[in-house]
Amino acid sequence: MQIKRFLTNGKVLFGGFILLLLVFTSIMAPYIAPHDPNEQDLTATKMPPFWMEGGASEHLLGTDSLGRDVLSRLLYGSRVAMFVAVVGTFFAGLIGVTLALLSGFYRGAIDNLISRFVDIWISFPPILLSIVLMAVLGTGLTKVALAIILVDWTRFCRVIRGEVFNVREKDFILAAKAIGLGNLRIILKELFPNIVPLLTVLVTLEMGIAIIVEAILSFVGLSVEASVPAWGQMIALGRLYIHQAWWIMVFPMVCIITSVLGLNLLGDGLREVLDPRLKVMGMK
Amino acid sequence: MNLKYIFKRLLYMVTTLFGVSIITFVILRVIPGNPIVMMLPPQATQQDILELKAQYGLDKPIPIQYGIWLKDVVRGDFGASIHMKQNVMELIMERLPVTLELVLAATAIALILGIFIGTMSIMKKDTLLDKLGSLVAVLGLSIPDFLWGLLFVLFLGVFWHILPISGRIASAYTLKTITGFFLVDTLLRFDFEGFYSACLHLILPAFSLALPLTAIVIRVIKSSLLEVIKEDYILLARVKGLSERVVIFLHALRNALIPTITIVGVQFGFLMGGTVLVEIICSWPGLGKLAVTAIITRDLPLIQGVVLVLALIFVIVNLVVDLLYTFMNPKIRYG
Amino acid sequence: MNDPLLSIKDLRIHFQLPQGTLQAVDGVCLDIDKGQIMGLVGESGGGKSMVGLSVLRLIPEGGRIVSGEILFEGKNLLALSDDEMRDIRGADISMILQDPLTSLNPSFRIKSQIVDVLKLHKGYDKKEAEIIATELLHNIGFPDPEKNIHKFPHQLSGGMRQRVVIAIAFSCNPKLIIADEPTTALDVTIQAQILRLLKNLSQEYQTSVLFVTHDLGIVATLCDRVAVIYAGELVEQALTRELFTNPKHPYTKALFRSIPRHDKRQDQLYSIEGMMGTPIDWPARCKFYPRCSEKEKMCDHADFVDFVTYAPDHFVRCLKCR
Repeated sequence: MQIKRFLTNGKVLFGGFILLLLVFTSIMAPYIAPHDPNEQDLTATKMPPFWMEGGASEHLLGTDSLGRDVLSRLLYGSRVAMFVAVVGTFFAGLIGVTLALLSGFYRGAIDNLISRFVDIWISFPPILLSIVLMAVLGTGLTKVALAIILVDWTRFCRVIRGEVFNVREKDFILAAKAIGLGNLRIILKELFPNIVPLLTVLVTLEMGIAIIVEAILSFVGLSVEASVPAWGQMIALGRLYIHQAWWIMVFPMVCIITSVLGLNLLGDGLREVLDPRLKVMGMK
Repeated sequence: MNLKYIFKRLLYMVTTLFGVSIITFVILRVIPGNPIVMMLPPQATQQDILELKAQYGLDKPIPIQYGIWLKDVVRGDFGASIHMKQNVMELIMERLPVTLELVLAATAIALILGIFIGTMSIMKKDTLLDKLGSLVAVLGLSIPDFLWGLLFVLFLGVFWHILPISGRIASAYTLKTITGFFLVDTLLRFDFEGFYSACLHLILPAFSLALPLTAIVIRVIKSSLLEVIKEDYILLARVKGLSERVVIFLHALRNALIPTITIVGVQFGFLMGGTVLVEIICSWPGLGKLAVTAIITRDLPLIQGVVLVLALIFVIVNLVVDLLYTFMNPKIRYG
Repeated sequence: MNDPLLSIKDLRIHFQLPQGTLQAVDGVCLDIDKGQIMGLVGESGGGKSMVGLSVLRLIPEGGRIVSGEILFEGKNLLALSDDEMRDIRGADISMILQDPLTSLNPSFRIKSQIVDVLKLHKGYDKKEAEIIATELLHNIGFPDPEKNIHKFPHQLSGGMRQRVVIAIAFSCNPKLIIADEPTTALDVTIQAQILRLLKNLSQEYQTSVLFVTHDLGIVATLCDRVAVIYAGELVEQALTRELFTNPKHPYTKALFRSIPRHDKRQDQLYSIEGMMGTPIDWPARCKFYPRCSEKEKMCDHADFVDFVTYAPDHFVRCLKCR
């Protein structure tokens, strides 16, 4: 019964499809990419996509300024996007949720301390913070994920903390305490399961944000090494040739927009399904 | 609205700023890339490096460096940029109005568009307008500002030359800036052509920043209005025979605006620190661009200064938003 | 005898719910004469508020008026356009809601909330409207109107707020006022004042009132006629005196029994067995049957129970009263 509600929601279906597509391409990229993404062909630079004049089926989406196949680079770029989205969101969530659970459950001094810390951290302009972190950590995929974790954990913490405050007043928590269950057990077994719906929605949103942050970092050249194809990087490079070869920039843009859109819709759809049923209009 | 509250908030602000500056300080001095090394030619000797380091005070222990920096900051001296050979404060004050003008314009656009679309969406539920509004909301949230910027550049600058895509104003209008806000300065000089040019140049970057924010506004307005509409006083307004437009735009909106303004205010604070990419794409010489340049060149005093100023703005904006909230809510204001 | 001011004929209001069709109002017929105060009594969920809201065509979203007519001064309100209806609302027919704190807009001062109706329907300008509003408040016992009219709702007491709501309702001299439990949210001491005020105003301006309530005690002092509603149907209707001395429907009798008595000692407070429930797809038979303490065999087999004349101007919907 529960599964059916998920499967009948259009947003969940569409978003879920996009997510699966991303997972698929990121895993299968080496097998389905027609070319090596770094293979340069200086005789065939800035070739347009196959449906335009000058295009060829060998390079379905054209080539960039160094003759590299755009399609292959896009497929490999999804690996960077997915890695960053999954790893970054997971650990940011881990840190944020843990602190939120502690903060919301124990309240008092612990809550004050954690909240203050979050407040200060949030006062850093997030984009600048991630840029600074990358400047400190150096380029590389794992460093990017780390930067995202360090910047985004606060959002998890804030939102989940709010929800914990909501849930902790519920009767079953008080009942558990009355029975004398240990705090850790209450947090893990009673509290946590009730924030899972909100957490799920948050995760999808954060994954989208992670992809965007990586793209921003790529754009300023502070993401992965130049030899690793990434969508943001492709956009930054493509921008230089926007007049002669707009497709170099546009296709990775489409990829980012589609991915983030899909994830956001998935989050929206999940929220719709997971929210408690609207009560029947009470007649007075 | 008592003094104790204001005092507490100020104290809170100050400690936040302390925290921010300390964290920045520490992070920056841990970085591998060394500004000194980047400033000297490759043949520089160890001696040269040490000398230069001492000149900038980078050889002392970190807490002492912080103390010195703090002492200067309190006097308003943010030091000199290592790379740009200019006073940090000067640099910041040059660029601040640029970013401010952009963010103010973006916020204004987002508020007007968002409130209008959101309210019409509620009034004409399930019509074309409502669906359009939802579309804008979803797209706005999924497409980040810099991608909007690139899309606009592509369609409005490259494919069809409708709008200027670079700079703040046509080079024909040389400026003696008074406020730093081009829109204001051109009007002060009665330079209407210049004003027009400044407006045109503002459209692309402002809308790029505005659209994601518009999506947020639409979302908040819709949810606030939906809550407000259920209230008895809305029923009474209808009982009085007021037209639907008056009921929604006057009675409902007035109450739905309160949470909206608070959220928009906070977003304004975030936006001030998030203009980097749009400034790069549209060649606007603002704080964002300055910050990135500073970071890449490891210009420590400059980074320090910019981060602190942005944090200060953020904190002040939050305070203003809170005050605005109490001001707008009659229950608190006239307790 | 003149035609009644308001004549509700066979009103049916349905809500389409996932569980089925909710028949919130199921064939209500009600007449109110000019200057008359009609009480509409029933428990929560019985449909009484819905009847009141339907006269103004402001039933909540999801509800549909599936059949019936509401004749006001001979015109069928259900056939009017939205604009025409808006002209009537606030001017000819007005409403007093239950909770004065939530019925006033918290963001606007009292002044603007009374003035806007006056400006809309009577065409006064701001200054004139303010004077009239102040005068009106003064007449209904609102303390120090010149000063308090500039206050916000939350700065006033419950009784003061309800007077404002009453002032708004009476401001354009309407012919009919729907009062939906106007005293339920007030202190007992204030209740009596407000009720007295309503009665005086009604007599002074010859305004008819449809007084919706669950409280029989109020009905006794205020209303000229009473109608009892159960699960969307009227089960009994009579002049107040007649109903109180000679109730015929088992539900009405049960309602009277439920009133705690001051004169006799009671070992147990009487309450009607069972719960009304929600009238979704109920079978066509006597709706009160499951809870009736006087039911007979024939009551279960009947298809539909008519609203019959038991005595002159006393109607009952009960098979036993034929």
